Amino acid sequence: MEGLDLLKKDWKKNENSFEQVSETQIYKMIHKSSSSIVKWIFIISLLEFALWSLIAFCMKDSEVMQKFNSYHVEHIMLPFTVIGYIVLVYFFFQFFMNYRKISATDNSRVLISNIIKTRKKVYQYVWFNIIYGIISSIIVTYIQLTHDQDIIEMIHQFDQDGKGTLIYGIYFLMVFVFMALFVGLIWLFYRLIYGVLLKRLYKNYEELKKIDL
Amino acid sequence: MSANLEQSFVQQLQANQNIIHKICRLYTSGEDEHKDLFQEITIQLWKAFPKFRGESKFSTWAYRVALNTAITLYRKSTRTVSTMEYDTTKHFFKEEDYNYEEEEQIKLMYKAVHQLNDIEKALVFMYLEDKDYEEISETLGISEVNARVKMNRIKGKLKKILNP
Repeated sequence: MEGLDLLKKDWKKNENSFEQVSETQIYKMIHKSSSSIVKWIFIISLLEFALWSLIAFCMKDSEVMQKFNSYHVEHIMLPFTVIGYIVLVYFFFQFFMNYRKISATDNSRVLISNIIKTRKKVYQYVWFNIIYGIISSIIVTYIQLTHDQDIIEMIHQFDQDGKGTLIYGIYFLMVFVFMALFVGLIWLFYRLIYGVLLKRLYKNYEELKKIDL
Repeated sequence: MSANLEQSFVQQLQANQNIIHKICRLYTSGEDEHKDLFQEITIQLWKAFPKFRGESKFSTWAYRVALNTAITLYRKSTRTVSTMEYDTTKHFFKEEDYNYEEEEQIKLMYKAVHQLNDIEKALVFMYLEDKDYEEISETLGISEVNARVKMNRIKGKLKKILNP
């Protein structure tokens, strides 16, 4: 006898060798809180939805936005705000519906796939926010360049000195650097948090897919 | 959840707890980790229990939830686990049939199985538990043919570890 069959013999022989857990101990255990990966994903995802909504909410009353209101460009800003809320509701609903589908009684492949799908919705929402942030920045920059009296005057001054292109260049470079930093930080955050949390999950999913190729 | 449900669950789990212990034996390598995974599996079983309708045996149902917890849901506790090697064979032999060479082989086998990945361990576990390929394929969500092919590969892999 060799290999696995030898192990099976030992496995069967020692089936009842475990220190038994009492009913009282089991009672205690089921009243403890789970530390499963799904619970962590759920908590972190809720925090993400809250954080992104909070950022949008705080921006509304910021000085920049108050200055913006004085330019009377509501016709541009209002659709943006509405789209922001619709997308939030859409993604949150999708996230929640996927979360409810996660069940430990499914087969392993379906279970992992459902967890990944749930996670993906939050991921898509974050990407939406990044793209939304970039587009907003471009529009905001454009509005500032065309509506802010101080900036218009400054550009006019530079134009007279023949340095108009230079000031545009610097302005866009600043916006670009700021956006690159913003995206870079978010990317780093995701690599750290989800790299740690989801590495094993993806590995096992890939392994299951590989077996069934 | 009602007290009756709770009582019925605790009794059935208590009677079937060796299933969980056996999974913990394959997926953890320390006493603390064993307890930690045992607890998480118990919680997951309890959470899923209201959906258990008794169409299958409690044990069959528990296998699936317990394996899923070990493969997917369990997040290894960050607290430091004792680095002392957990001797999985320590209480597993009786003196009268002690065979040194065989015992060494078994120790090596356990060590080799511990080196397999999570999915391979699941296949080995179900093989050791005499589950048929139909149940293995249904539990993992892979086809029966591929489960068989994979199992043969694992057997080959383990053989090689023992006889390099």
